[in-house]
Amino acid sequence: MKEDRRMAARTIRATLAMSALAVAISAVVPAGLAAQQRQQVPMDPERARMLYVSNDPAHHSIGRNFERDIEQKARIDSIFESASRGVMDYRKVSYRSSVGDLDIPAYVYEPTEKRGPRGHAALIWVHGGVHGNWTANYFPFVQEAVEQGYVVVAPEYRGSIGYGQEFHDAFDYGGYEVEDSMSAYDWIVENLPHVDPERVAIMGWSHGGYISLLAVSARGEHPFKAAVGIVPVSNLIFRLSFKGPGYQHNFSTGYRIQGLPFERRDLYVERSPVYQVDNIEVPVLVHLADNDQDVNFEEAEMLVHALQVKKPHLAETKIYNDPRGGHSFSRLVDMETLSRDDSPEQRDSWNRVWNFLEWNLRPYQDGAGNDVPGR
Amino acid sequence: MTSPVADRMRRSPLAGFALAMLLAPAAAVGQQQPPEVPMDPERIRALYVTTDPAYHSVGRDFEADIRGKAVIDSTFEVHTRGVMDYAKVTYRSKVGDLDIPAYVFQPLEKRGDRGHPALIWVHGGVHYNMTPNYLPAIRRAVEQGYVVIAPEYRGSTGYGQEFHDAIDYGGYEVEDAASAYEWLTGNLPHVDPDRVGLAGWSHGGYIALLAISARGDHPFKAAVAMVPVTNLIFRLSFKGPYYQHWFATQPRIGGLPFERRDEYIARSPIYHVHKIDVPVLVHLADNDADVNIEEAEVLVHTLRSLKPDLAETMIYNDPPGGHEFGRQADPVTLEAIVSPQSRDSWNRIWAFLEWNLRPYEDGQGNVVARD
Repeated sequence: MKEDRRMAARTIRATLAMSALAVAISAVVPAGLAAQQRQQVPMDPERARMLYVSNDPAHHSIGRNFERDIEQKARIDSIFESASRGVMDYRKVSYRSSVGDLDIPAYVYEPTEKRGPRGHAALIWVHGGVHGNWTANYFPFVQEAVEQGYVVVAPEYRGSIGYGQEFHDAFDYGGYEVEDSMSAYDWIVENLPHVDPERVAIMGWSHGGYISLLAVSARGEHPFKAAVGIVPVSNLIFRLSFKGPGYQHNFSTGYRIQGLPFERRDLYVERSPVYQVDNIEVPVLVHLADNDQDVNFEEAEMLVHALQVKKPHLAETKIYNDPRGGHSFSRLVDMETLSRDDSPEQRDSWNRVWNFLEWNLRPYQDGAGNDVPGR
Repeated sequence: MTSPVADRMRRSPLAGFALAMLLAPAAAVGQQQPPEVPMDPERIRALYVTTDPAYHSVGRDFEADIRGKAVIDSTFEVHTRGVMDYAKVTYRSKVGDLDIPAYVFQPLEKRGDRGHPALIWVHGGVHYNMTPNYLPAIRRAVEQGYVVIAPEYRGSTGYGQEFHDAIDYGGYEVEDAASAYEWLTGNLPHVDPDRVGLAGWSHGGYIALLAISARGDHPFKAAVAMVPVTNLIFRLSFKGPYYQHWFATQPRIGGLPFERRDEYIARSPIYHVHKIDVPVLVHLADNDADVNIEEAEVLVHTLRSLKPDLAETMIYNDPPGGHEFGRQADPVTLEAIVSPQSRDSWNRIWAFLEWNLRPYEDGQGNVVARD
């Protein structure tokens, strides 16, 4: 009865209010996205320059000294050569990327004594960036890996420095660089019969951790048994906003990107590991530093939360509180001696990395599944 | 600390020279200056975002907003008559500088001292206002015994330029909304100060979250945040310059996220989740084109990860209405437009609020008969 009265009253009122409401609703456009027209405001030339981000690939490497990069790369190579001698097999190779367009240089480190067919597990070890390259501060850790029986391949994916402008400008952050790195697997399988194709993992720091995570989540089927992403880049849309125009430039001028996040939303979402977590189906280990000034904690913690919630049985995560070195906290090396410069956090992080890899790749076993004597 | 490697390094003639080069990590980034590139005039305009508050509301028709608000007020008046007590009031924000208009909806029959719980009902934005599409839900709230107060926090439309331009997204607006609590306890003895919750949508859900996490002590027992804005740093990047304008030109923000990092972090609920100390309910739509799921899902992950015992979260798959799901009403009849998703969302909201605010109890804790 009460309900009936209310309905009747409302119908009458509604008729009266109808035209007025139509006015109200058109006057107050819904909160969201109606007013996307650019506000016409006077521009301060200095600010306009500061905010300007090109989307033209021709501007990508303006000001870069490629000759200096090449000289520096030669020095790095010679350090690896001299430091590896008598310690492990070292060579530099190159292989065709599965994309088909480029040859990818790669560093290969192996135990001097091989165990026979499928006797070794392997790690594809991906360096950081933007526009970085494989450097000698990884040496003591690579040495530890090889001592445990791992074969290590460190690809210089497209965009790495030290190989000239063409290779540098082929930069494709979160794009073909992932294929370049994953292609190391095919090179290993074709060229190293003593590596077990069933015992290969991918790992990296920063941009390299990012590539490792995308390799096990954003590329469909993959051959990797585990992935390690330390201080990984995880959300490019957040990241570019936080860093500003100087950092945005590298991405916006990427030849397969050509724009900022708001201009290429789908592409930046695809290239952000935090949105690929659903697709992870192998164990992953992620360590962060809460004092990281490169992959800021505000960016990276989102990934840890997504992993903890969506993949609690596959993800091992740890956040270190104020570790020495921040972004580099687990890559602290005395460059004089090329030996570890440990902090408690660096020790713990590596203990966990080696445990994680040992559990998932069994580096102590030969190709027949027998424990190798002496380990 | 001698090792074969170290020995070899000392013997290598190249090593010493190379070491310095290798010390600088390649990955380091800071707030670099962009390289000097030729600029395209159209793109300059497209990317330009001013920080000058004088241009905040360029092109806004304040008179039209005021006329629209008058129509809305009369709609509220007409549609509440005989159904609930309706009043529009104002109160001083605890910030001290502004009077905040607010809509108050109450049951016709009061229960006596502390007989009713209350909800502070926070509308969305940027630059929006309380609208009649919330009436079906408010009617249900009042039927259950809630007193509802809907503050028009600074920046709301319909109150002229000064009030509009006082916008302070994630700043004083939170105090404006939270000050409704003092108005309730100061003016309505039949409201129980220990049974007050917050409910908001979009920008309003964002304010509700900040009120229980970013402001230290607060009097609220629970918060409902529907499709809430969660991360301004991500959000501005995803939306682009037209949207960035509304933030960079706010006097207490004064720049883009990379220019005012701490300010934007302080104003992003996702970075306050660890401080949440009361139950919170968050519902999202995965087809939301305003608070995109890419922004909002990260809040849900954070809540589930950091506050599993306080947070109740749901992500609805493709609900009709997207960002507006659950708060759509027929503009003529003001009846709710429902879908299975909106029904479930409201079932959960009412159950959550009932559990935390006990609207069925009077001021002595006795169960009041419900009609």
